[in-house]
Amino acid sequence: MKLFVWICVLILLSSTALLVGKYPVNFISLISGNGASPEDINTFKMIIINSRLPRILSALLIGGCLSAAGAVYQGIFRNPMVSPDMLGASSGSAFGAALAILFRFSIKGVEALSFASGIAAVAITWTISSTVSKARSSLVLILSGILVSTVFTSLLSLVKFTADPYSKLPDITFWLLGNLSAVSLSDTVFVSGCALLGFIPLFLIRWKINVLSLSEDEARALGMNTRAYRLIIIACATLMTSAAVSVCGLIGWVGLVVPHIVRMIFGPDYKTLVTASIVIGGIYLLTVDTLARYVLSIEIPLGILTAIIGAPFFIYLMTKSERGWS
Amino acid sequence: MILETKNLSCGYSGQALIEKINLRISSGETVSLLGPNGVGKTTLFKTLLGLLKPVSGAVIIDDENIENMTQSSRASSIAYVPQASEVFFPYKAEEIVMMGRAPHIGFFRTPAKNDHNHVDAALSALSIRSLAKRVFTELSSGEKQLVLIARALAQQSKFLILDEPTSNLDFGNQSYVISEIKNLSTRGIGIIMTTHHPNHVFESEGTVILIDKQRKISVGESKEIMTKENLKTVYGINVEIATHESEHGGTHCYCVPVGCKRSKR
Repeated sequence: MKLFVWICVLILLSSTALLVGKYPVNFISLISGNGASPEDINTFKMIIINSRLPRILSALLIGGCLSAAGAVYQGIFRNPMVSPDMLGASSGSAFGAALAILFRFSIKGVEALSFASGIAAVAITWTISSTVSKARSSLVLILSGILVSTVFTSLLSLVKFTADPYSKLPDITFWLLGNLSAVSLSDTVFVSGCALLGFIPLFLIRWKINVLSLSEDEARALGMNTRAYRLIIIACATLMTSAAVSVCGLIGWVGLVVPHIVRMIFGPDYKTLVTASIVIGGIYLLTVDTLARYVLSIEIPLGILTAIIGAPFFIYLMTKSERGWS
Repeated sequence: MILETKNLSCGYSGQALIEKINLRISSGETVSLLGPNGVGKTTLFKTLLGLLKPVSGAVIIDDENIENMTQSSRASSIAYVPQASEVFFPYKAEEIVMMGRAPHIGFFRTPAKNDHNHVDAALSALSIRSLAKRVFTELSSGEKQLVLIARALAQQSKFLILDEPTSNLDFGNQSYVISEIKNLSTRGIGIIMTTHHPNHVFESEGTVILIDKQRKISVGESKEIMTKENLKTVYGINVEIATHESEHGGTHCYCVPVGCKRSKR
């Protein structure tokens, strides 16, 4: 019921976001066809379909993906401070993108390499942790994740170091800041495909994630095949995170902060938490992105804004919620 | 149902802590496991639960080796009540109890009406329905312990393994939890629990497994095993065992340490 209200809020916000923007679109003439020249109407359509619509949909999808991935990671790693970057997906994607920019790949090529290396990074993390430890401890997985992230971040620095400081380096830097201004309709289709592929399994096993958030021994004593579940969850979360990062760059704090907001509204039960994270995450990123492109006179990259808004908000959450994760 | 161990040795990475233990526990029976720290009680429990592979020997439930069972069918036979559950999110008590239904809820399923009924029944059985909507992490240790026992009840297993169920409780709650556990055995559940208090063994009656410092294992009725000689070898202190005619009826055994100077170890 509560979720239904929030879905209505999401639809309302999306429609509003479609109406606002730097370029004044006259909707009355767009719909009725009066009071504007045919060229104007064409421009209006172009802006709506090729610019605002993909951007709004991408903001919703990416916000939703990052939040859902963060929410399930916090559960399976039993740690409220975990974000979707945990196992190296973001640093892998960032490195892939930078490398592709260095080698003058097309935009599609940058996205593809970024997506692939995000997934590769997590695969490496998983392989390391399962070779190192048979004990299936999530601590080993987290440590391997930190390790792999560090290596990919260093490789990224190496790419930056070798990049031409006048042409390539600014491109890489700008890409890393996280931005939705360049998304196209095909990007949106790609992200929505990945989002759906990642979301469906998570949705189906959503209640079981609760049991996984208990200690390893308890979860297994409650009949859970913890390794299989964890593998499914990590695969889905990685797919969603890598797709999001490959299209829009690094957007931090969403996957960390939003799950906590969702828990405050809906409670900790993953039965609703997974879907609610998608909805609230979408609302959050759409709001921030709309503010970024409409309110401020120069457009500030989204990744900067989510961090500037996210960090103080997180402090506020910490002071307010002494429950559960003190 | 019968839970058996056949020449079971258990420990970590091939190194046996407890060797060649033979047990036979039927549902409805209470077994207390008593022994000093570090002799391998928790290791034995983990092996019984199938969380740890036995070094040798086998754990058998109704003629089936638990190693051949799936994780969820094992969980439908044996439930585990940990000493304390690390819960990181503000789950309500009823949500925690619902997690006991996990082995009965299919791969892609969420709790159904029937599962909610089992949760209600488990909460009522321990008279803690009033805790249902409370946040688990905000409950007192005694209340938490009862919620965890309710979770194991909702799991509907025939055997319950409790790891020091009274360890963090105050004096009153200790007795209360022990009497609730005793009640469960009258419902046909086989109970295996560890405790650090010899008196709880007298309270819960039933069979005792005593493991001394040399990991020598004695199994038997509480009256024959819980002698002051045995307790002295296990804990290394002098104890006296006394009986007391209660004004509330019945006689109670209890044990007290006397002269806390440690005897030779």
